[in-house]
Amino acid sequence: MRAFLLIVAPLTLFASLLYGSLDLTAVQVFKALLSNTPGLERDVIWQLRMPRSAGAFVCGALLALSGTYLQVLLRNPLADPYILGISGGAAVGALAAILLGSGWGVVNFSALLGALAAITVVFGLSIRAGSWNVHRLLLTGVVLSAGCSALISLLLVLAPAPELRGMLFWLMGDLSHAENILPALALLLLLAALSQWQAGSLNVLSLGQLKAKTLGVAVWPLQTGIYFCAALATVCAVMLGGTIGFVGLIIPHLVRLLGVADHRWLVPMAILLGGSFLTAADTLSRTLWAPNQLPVGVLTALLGVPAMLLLLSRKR
Amino acid sequence: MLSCENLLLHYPGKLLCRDLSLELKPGKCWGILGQNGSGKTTLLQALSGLHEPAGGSIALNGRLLRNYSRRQLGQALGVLLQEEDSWFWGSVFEYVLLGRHPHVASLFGWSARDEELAWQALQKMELADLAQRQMNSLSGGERQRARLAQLLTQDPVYLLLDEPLQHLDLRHQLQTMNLLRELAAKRGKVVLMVLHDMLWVTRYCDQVLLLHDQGLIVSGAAAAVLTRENLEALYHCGLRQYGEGRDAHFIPGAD
Repeated sequence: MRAFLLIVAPLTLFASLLYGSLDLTAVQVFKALLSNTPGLERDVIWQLRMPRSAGAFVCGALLALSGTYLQVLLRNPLADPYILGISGGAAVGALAAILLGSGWGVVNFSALLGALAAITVVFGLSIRAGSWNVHRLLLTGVVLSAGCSALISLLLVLAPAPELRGMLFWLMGDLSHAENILPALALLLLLAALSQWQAGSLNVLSLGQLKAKTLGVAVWPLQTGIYFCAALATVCAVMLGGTIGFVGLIIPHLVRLLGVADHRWLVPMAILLGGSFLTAADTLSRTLWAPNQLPVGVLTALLGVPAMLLLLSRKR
Repeated sequence: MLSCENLLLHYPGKLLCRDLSLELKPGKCWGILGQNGSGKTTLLQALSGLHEPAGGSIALNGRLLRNYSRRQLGQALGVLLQEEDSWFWGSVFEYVLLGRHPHVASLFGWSARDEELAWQALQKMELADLAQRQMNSLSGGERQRARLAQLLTQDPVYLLLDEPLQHLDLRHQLQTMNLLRELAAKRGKVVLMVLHDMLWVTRYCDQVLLLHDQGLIVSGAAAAVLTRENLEALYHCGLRQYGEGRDAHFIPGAD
């Protein structure tokens, strides 16, 4: 299974380079990847498809990583990157900026401010006397998300028709603006390394806070670290592709259902599967109904729901 | 040596322990007895560094407990919690191996020595055949033995056990108590356990703590403390005594 995931990631990435509005053969893609001379194929691969595929991969990996972290932190299988209101805050910021007719740079910055505000509010309200109250954290996040949903509805109602489509695409996930992915990639690699370093402690923390303390885990610093790493990963993913649903919830579960539950393997496998899954969904979203694009969030749900249901029905 | 001085423990609205001074020396088995809600668990958790006392001090080898890192405490003090979440993601063997967590640099996984210790513990707890079973599929008693096996794998000097015999059948209760006594007598460990069955306390414990109301704690050698009068005062019920010393039995319901 681990070997399968190692193969699936490069295969999905390659397929995403292969399919698009310009028909290319696998050989042409290989040549264009390795070629130094300018040409149509090389430009299509390196300037159009590669940034988008890489953006989708990193975005999916960050969402899966964040979901894995939050399921450990909250010890709740329903936890996903958006449960703590981070995406809600980001969405309110982004939609307000779109409504005001701002460019993508301002929209992104505004989304970042919204997400940081949500992270700060949830963190501030969840800490009591130097310890995490996980139930309070979950409730605060859910309440904040509900508040953000109301604001999002209000913004959508107020929006004039021309802006409405862009806003809806942002909400359902849109990777067409995923350009500068290097900061996100750097964050992904950093978080992957940190997770590997702390994987044993994540294993122990999944037994509960008190038990983890008895087994030598400094629970408070670890939980704070997990919260901020999950928040950073979510913010970064939302900056890349809007609020793409389902990846962060379903991928950690899929990996567990495939028989990998030890965090030393679960985290890297979730990163690979999350990245591959979103890359595949994004490739479908831009090719199924070409030249139109489907919202990638619709595809993640359409692909993810049957896969998850199938695995659940097979498990004893 | 684990010791406490003038220990004061509160629970919201209730005084659990006052002016308790103790020295837990190697090679001894301690028993803690008391009514429900008398503070047995809180005392055990305070001595393990999991509960901050309202007053007094707790020290390990002369250094205050709060000055140790969690990892250092995990190497010296092993705690069997009274309750633990039943869900676990892996097999019995993986669960038991987590006992080595305080001792290893987790980046590199488990060493052969860690796995060897886990196997030994599984064998002692008669769980070797179930090693590859999912932890979630075990019965209550098997789960309790797995928790004890994890504690043995942790291999601490101090074993602080909250109701170690719960869910165990009679034979496994006997085996567990024999094992704990052996750890104290032959390997110089300190065993401190909350128990409800006085039979085990009279037979296996060298020292006893009786947690009375209003934070009053009577402590001393088992033979001196485990008298009918003391236990009647502790549980507020009449007792009949049969036998003496290590063979003493106390049956509730006296005239």
